[in-house]
Amino acid sequence: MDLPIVYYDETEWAKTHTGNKVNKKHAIAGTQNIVIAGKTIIEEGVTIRGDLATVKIGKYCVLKTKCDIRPCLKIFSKKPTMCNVIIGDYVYIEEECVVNASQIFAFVHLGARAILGNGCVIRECSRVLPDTVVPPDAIFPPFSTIGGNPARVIGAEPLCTENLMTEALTMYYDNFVPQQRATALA
Amino acid sequence: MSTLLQYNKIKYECSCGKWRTLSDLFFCRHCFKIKCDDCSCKEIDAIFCPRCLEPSSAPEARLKKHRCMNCNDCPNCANVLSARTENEKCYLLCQHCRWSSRDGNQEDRDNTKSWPSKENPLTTQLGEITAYMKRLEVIENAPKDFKKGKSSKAWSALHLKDKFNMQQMVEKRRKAMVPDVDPVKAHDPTEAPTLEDELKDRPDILRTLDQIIMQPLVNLSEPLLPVKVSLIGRVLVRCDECERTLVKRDFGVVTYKFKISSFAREFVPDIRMSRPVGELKVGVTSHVFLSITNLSLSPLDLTISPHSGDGNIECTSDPIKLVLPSSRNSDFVAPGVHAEQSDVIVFRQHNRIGLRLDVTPSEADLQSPTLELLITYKQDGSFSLLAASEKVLKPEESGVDRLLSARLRIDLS
Repeated sequence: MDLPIVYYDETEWAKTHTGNKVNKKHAIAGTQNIVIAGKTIIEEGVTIRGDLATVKIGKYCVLKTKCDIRPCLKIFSKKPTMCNVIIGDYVYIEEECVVNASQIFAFVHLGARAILGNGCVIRECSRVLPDTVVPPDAIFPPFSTIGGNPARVIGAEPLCTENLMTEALTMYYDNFVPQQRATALA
Repeated sequence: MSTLLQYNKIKYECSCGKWRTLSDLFFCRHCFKIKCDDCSCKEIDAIFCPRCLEPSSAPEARLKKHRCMNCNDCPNCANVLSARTENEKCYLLCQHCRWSSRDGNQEDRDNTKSWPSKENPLTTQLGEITAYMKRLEVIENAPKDFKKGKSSKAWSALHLKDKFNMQQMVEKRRKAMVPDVDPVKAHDPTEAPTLEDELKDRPDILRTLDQIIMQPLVNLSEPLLPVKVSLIGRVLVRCDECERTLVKRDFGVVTYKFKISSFAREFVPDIRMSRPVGELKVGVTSHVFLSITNLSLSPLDLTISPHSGDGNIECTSDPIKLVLPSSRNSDFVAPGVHAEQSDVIVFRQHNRIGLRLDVTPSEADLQSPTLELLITYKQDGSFSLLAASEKVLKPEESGVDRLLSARLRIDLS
C-alpha cells in the first residue's frame, strides 16, 4: 500500500533548515547533545535524553508518538558511565517504544511498544516485532526478525530490505506535508 | 518494511508455482525466470558467531563443534550472558532472568573466555571404538583393493616370487604392516534405571524442552552450565537451472551490501495498492486503486490483463497497455495514454503510474476476495545492457527483447 498523505498543523511543528520536522509538544532535553542529520520526523510526546549523553540520529528517520530514547548505562570497573546512542539512517520507530540501546544501525524497523534493553545493538535491515522485549546487552546480526519476550531471532527479513526501507521512508517524508500548503495546492 | 508498505497482500507467482511476495523473490536474468527461496540453490558463504560477529572458516568451525568459544548464552532463557567483575574476577550474569554462573556452581574466573561445558564422559572410549572400526575397515577392504589393482605396497609385495630371496623380508614387513586387531573391551552392562528411581530423584523444578535441547548431556541432578553460542551461516543464492549467482553479499560477515544482487523488484513491475479498498458488496462495482512502479534500468512496455473466474473476483476493466519510463530517465514523457485521456489511469508520476480497476464481487468472493492479474512486459534492452559481457561471448543471442510475464494475486480483504 502506498503511504497516505499526512497533513500536519504548521503551528504545532517546527522545521529546521536541514528538513527535520519536530512536534513542539516534545520532551527533548539537552538539545546541545543531540545531533540529527536531517529530514527526520519527530512526533508528539517523544522523549530524547540528550542531557545524559550524546544522541545521534541519522537522516530520514521517523520517531512516532511517545517514543523514549535514552542513553544506556554501562558499568565499568571504576564507575558507571552513560554511553552515547547512535541511530542510523532510515530507521522507523513506532509508537511508545523505549530505546535504551547503544546502537541501532540503518534500515531498522521497530514495532510499536518494543522495549530495547540497556546497551543492546541491532544491526542493519532488521525488524523488531511489536511488543518485543529485547534484553540488555543483546546483539542481533543483520537481516534478522526479532520477536518475543525475551527477544530472539525468529526469522529473516527479505534481502532487499534496504531498498524497501529507503523507498518507504522517503515516501513517508514526502507525504508528510503542512496543512496550509496542502490547501494551497488544492 | 514490507509491513509498512503492506507487501504481504500481493503475491506473485514464482516459476515453480508458489505464491510469494515480490520482496522475497529473485530474478534470474539468464533464464528469464522468477525464482523463490525453494527453487534456488543455497550455499554457505560465511560462518560467524551471531554475538561477537567473529568470522570463522569451515574447518575451524568444525573443530570448535560449530560453537563460539568466547560467547555464552543463558541456559535458562537463551539470552546473552554479560560479564560482571568482582574483586578482579569475573562471572557471567543473565540480565533477563538473573541466572549467574555462580548458580551453575562455577567459580569466578580471571577472564570471560573458555567457560567449561559438559563433555560426554565416554568420549575416550568412543574414540577407541572408532579407531578400532577404522582398522577393521582397512583389513576388510585390502583384498578388494588388491583385486582392483590399487593395492598398497605391503600387499602387492606378497605376490612376488622369491626370485631374489626376499620373501623372508617381505613376510616380516607384511606382519609389521598388518594392523593389530585387538578387539576393544565391551562395555559392561549397566542396570537400566527404573521409572521409580527416576521419579524418586527428580527435583521439584523440571527443565523445559528448550533447556534440555540446549544442553542434552547435563543430567537433571546436575546444575546447568553456560551454553556456548552456536555459529550461524550466511548464504549465497544461486539459480537452480543455470547455477549463476543471484545474490552474493559483500566481503565481511556483517555487511548488508551486495556484490551481486538480482532481486525480482528490479526487473518485474512492482504493483502495490494505492488506496485501501472500500467495503465490497455483492453485485456492486467497487474500485481498486493500484500503483505500478518500474524499478528496472530501462523503460517497461507492459500489458495488464485482469483474470476473472477460478475463484477470483470478477474484474470488468479491459486489458491496459502502457509504457513506464525507468527511474533513470523519468523526465522523458512516456508515449501512450495520458492520465487526462483515460478513466483507468489515475496519475502518472516519474516511474510510477496509478490505475483504477473495477471489480464486481459475487457471493462466493466475499470470503476471500482475490484479484488476479497477468502482466506481460518487455524491457527495452535492459538485459543486453546487464549481460554485456555475455553478449561478447554469445553474439547470436543479442538484440531480441524477450516478452516476459508475471502473474499476481491481490488480497482485497
